[in-house]
Amino acid sequence: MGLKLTPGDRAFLEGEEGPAGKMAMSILVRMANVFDVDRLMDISMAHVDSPIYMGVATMEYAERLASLGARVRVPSTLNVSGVDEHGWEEWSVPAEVAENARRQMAAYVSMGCKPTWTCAPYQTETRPEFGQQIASGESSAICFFNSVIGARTERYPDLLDICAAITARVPARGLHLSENRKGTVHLVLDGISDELLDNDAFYPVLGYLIGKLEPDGVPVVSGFEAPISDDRHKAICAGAASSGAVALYHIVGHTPEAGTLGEAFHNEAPQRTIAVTMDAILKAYLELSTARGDQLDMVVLGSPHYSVNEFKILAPLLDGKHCHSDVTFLVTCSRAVRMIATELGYLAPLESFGGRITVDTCPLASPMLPDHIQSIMTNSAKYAYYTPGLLNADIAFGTLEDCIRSAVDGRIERDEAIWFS
Amino acid sequence: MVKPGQIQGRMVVDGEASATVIKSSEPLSFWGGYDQATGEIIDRRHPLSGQFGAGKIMAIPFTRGSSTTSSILIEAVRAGVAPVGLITIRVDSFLALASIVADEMYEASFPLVSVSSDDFERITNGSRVSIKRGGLIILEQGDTAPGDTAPGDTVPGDTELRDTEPRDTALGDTVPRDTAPRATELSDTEPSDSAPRDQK
Repeated sequence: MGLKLTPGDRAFLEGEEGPAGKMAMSILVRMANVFDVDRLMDISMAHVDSPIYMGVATMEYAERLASLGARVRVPSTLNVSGVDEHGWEEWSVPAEVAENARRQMAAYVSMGCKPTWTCAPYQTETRPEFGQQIASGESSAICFFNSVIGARTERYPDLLDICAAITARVPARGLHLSENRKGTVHLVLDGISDELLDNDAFYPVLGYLIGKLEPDGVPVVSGFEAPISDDRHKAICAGAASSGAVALYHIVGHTPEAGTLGEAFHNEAPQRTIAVTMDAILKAYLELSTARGDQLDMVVLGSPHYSVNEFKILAPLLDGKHCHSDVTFLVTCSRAVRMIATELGYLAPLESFGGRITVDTCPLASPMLPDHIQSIMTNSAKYAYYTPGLLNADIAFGTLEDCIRSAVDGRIERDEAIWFS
Repeated sequence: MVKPGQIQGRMVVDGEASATVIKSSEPLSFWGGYDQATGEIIDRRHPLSGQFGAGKIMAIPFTRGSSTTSSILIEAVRAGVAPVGLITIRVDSFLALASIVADEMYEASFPLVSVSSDDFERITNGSRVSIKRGGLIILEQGDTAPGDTAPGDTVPGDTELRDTEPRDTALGDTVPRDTAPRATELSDTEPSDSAPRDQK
């Protein structure tokens, strides 16, 4: 097929837009050749996951681009960083990591990116529109942009998302193109109890199950009647993009490209139809936990980052209660959400409860947890999925109410009736 | 003409490698799945959990989950504990990018080949394979290249077979190479505990 570059693309490649533009376009063009695409296309927004500090190599990459004078050409939000700049000393973050992570953050800010520092950028003021072509990293955000907003992005890995932001160009392929956005398999909710559908904890489990059932396609879910909030979609996205590589799902009657089943499948037949039963949900729920006993060292909420509305729900549940002295209770969010939630009075109950907040990052992205944290509880499928590997700790998945009760009592306690009814 | 004992795959990122295969039919996320300091597979729900990818040719259908996979792989390259080659079913952008950026930053790319599902089944875990330029894969009983003694079984840090030739993607190879030392040399100059995971 052969890649055809525009004069503008060639100008980048020949260094007319500066050495950083040349490096970014070089990487993009090599990636376009990997995919055998015939052209690049414009994007008008980016969400950049590259600032997450993984080690010296990610810092060196950021500083290379910055030293070459990189500037982003489109509005670009930043994903989580490797350190809570102002709060890291309260935790076990090594000073060297904090320093390197801050250097990496500074490099991306110097390129003109917005210091949003969140994995839930769609809950900030910079939110793309339906149909907008964008480039996003962060698997759960990719899934949300595509599925819930109907913006169009491929799964951009860290390191490449910034190249797209610098050049405002991406390979024309994948989910940028309409024909690749049609559903593949049909997942039909079958006999899920109303009580479970009403519980926020159902949605991360559903996401995890979707990612297991159709890790590499465009799953279409039907059977929902009541509206699905952004926070519940966020939980589905985080689960589906952890257990699978789901970058787009449709929910018939609820997401913008799935007004009808026919629209979701572009009027073609599904490859397969699978019933999502209570049994399947129960099995997925059980798979999310690795903790065997009731030992509890920490409760962590907020992957993806907590929203203002989630703080609003949390606040009254904590009122008048106190976290057990052996348990660390942590909520992770962006600095903007913390500020708004503080102004609205939602954080006072968390402080009286003995809970803590980390902004800009999370325990999965920052080496902040002390060694004695061996058993963690969460209501997030993403935290649940990655904790055993990344934090070398056991995880217990539960409802928000389970998490709070366990934090108060100092041991894992779950009311599991909703999963079995 | 592809002979018995050979697979003609699609060369995604060109290069050569010869090593023992570490294979699974389960997709893997390198973030949360691959220890960038040691090369151990640390996704405790993954069939390869506890095994090491350093110096091996890794065969997985595709990468799953997090978009941080490329960064982890770059760190692993820099630390000298990355696989020396990768074979996938789907053309995997996260792995391709890691190899291309490893080249841009450290001149240390690794070959990446995609093969059909049927050919993927022909590759056995623990066997030795060679990846040749152009995407030809030679299975255990195939030719043995000079120097193909047992590099894949060596300890992390081995880069004997890592390709150092210029890339052949004509358009892509326009950025001047950085003169930094090779990845493994660099890794000796940095404390290995600069990786976040190790600091907990």
